[in-house]
Amino acid sequence: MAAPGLPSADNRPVGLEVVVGMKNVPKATEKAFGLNKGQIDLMKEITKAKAEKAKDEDVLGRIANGEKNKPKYDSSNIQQDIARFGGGSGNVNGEGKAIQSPNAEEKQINRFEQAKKTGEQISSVMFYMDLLKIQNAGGNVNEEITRLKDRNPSFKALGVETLPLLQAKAQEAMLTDPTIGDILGQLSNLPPGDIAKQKAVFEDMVFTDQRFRDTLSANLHAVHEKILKLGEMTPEGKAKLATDTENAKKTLDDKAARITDAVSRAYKGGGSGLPKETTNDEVVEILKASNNESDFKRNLAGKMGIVNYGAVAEYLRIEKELAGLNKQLEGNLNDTPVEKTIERNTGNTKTTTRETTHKDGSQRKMLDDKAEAINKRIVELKGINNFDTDLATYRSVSDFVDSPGVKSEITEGISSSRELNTLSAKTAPEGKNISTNLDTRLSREDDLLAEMKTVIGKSLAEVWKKDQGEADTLNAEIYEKRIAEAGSEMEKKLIIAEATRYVDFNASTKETTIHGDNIMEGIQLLTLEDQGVMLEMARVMELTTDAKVKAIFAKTPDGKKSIYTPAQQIEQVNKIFDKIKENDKTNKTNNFEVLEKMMKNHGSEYRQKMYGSYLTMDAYLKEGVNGHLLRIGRKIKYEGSRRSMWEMVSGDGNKTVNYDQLNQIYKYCEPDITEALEQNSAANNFMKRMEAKGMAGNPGLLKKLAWLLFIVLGLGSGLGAAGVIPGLSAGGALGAAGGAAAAGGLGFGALKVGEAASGG
Amino acid sequence: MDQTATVANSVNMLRDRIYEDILTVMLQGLQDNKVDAPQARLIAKYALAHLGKASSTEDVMHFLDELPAKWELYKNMCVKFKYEEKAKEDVEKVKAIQNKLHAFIQ
Repeated sequence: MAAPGLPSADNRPVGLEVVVGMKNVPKATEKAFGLNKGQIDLMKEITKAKAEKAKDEDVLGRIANGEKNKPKYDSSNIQQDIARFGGGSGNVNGEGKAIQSPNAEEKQINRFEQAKKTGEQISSVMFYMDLLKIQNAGGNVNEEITRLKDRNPSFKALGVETLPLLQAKAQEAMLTDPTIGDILGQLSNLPPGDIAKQKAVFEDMVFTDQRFRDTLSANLHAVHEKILKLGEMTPEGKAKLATDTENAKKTLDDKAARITDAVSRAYKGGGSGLPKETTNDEVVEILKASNNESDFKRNLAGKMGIVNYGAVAEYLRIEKELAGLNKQLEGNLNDTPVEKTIERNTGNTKTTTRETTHKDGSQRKMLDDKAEAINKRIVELKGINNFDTDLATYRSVSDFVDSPGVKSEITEGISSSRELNTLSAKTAPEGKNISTNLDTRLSREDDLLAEMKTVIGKSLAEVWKKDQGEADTLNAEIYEKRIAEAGSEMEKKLIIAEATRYVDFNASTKETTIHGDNIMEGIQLLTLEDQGVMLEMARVMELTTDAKVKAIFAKTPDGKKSIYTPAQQIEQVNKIFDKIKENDKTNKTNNFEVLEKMMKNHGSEYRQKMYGSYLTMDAYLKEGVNGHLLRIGRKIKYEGSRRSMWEMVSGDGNKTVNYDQLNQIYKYCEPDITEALEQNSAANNFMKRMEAKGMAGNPGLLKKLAWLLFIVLGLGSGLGAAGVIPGLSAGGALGAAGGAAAAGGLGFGALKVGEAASGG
Repeated sequence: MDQTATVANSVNMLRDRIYEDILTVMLQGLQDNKVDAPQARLIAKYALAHLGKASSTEDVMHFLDELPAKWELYKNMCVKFKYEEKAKEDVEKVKAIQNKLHAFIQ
């Protein structure tokens, strides 16, 4: 039955299928059909999925999860997409492989080659993941490879026959993405040069993650849509270009053939003829490389074996110059008198006389000197090895090129070659003249190339980001549940402090806050080990005051030394505890007993929280790789003194803690790291896999990795986990939902809560 | 193929057909304003959770009883499937009797 006030199915206007096909449905249209946006969106979703022949069970899954159908990229399109790069002059050949126009300009070829390389790299990752999935499900990979080779031109273009070969290509593709290579390389704490181990990490963490495959496909589809908008030449434009190109090529070939024959005749004719023959291809090459006859002469001379072209050219130039000089000098030898009228002032009278002068001696000398220098240079040039042979060759080449029958062929051949160049540039979209918009087109292609080159990294980041959000939210939910189920008010205060005092995730704003000052106060207390943890718990349970806790670590007035030695600090702590006991007696309460019980039940997890938060803060403030990992998918803000760890932790007495104390804290908390990793099945499996990958022989590296995991997984800090190293969950049996549950399992008391979360 | 595999295969095929029809009916229900988006999500969740776990024809039949009880628009679809299954069972029974008769005669 239709909703009240809305038209029923029977009196609704026709054309609902049109509405379902609309990108944006106006409100009025929705109303006319008596449907709301949610209904129309869902109808669109189902209709589209049916048209794409998606598996019904998957479609129901998406509807159930409220997910929109992500468009998928058809990997067989990759070669066609590649062919659109390079100004649109490319095409796919009969085998479906992208080919570039033979006459394309260098800048066009450059874009085409980049698209080819990147496109094939991306497709290698997609095909490899698909085949790996088949292999892992016990399917016949070789059969699938044969099928793909027959039916999918993009797979065929990769030229791989086996899964290991495809695997190598996919790994190479991952390594070329700076984002992924950097993050995974750093995450596994492997040196950048250790490619083999990085590849092992790809196998474990990325290639088996179907969510990554789907996201990559969807993102590539978006790029594909943009590639389609680049446009291509109209069929008429392409046909005309092909005809013109063919004609120009025919002329070029014809002229080249005639010139080749002429060269052959000149060679066979002997005398001052050419010393060598040329092939037709060589002549085509010379014609293409020549802008005029002079260029042709030089290029042909090169083919004829001239070694000292520069010297020969200089010789011919100065030989000509010398001839001119000699002519001038010959005239001067006659010392022809020159009559001049000269006016002179002598006193008040001006006299005019006619005198005969001779050629100026200095000018003659200058000409003599110049001629002498040229003669000297000629002697030098002639002394060059093979100079005479080169000179003779050049003269014969020059005579050949200038001969009337050949010259016109060369001129026309060069002209055809230049026409071919011009035609190759006429590959603009929609067949327009390229000269005005090729650069614009190539600039758009550059943008798309940049998108293609980062699509793998972007896709992986998106998957991680989603995980991160889920993990953080789940952690917050777990704390909420624990707070609601707390057995007493004091336990509640303790859990609230654990959830919010150090690293706090706000589930509604999705923002994580690192409370720097609280964390550093916690670190100071950790120097007192169990006593310090218990005191911190007493403080958050409001059994003592901030002032009393801070007083324990008070400094001398110059700020350089602590007032109390560590032993005295312990005494001060005990005094605070004694005071709580005293109050219990006075007030007839059992607070200290509760505190001891809390310490027994929650002390370990609270200690981990204090230390884990410190490591998280350290990673955040250092802004190194760990900090980067923490930031993936998170909005993080820092509250408190923005002092670097260098300032807070040093050998100086006036710093919060010194290095010795920090080492002491590490030793005190190290079992927590081991325990936390062991409790987390995903992290535990990851460590085992890393050991199996050949890191067992390097305990130091394993230890570092354990640390790194502890930090970036947020073990003990309250930060989520699965998202930072998605492969930990996605690569294992946990899957996406399991990943989130595993994240829950990272907190304290998390196993039971995590189980409850996954069971629900 | 052993008996268990045959049953599993048969259940899987039946399940896929039902999933297909659930979507078709859902689409029609959305068009006719008989179901809204949140209800559609519930139906999808319910179908995956219950039909997805079905390992025998009996389980599937039970699902076909439960689904229209919750959402009436699936009544016809479920009746159709139940009728088909019943008809198939009858055919198999007749075939079994025929085989027995054939063996008896020979």
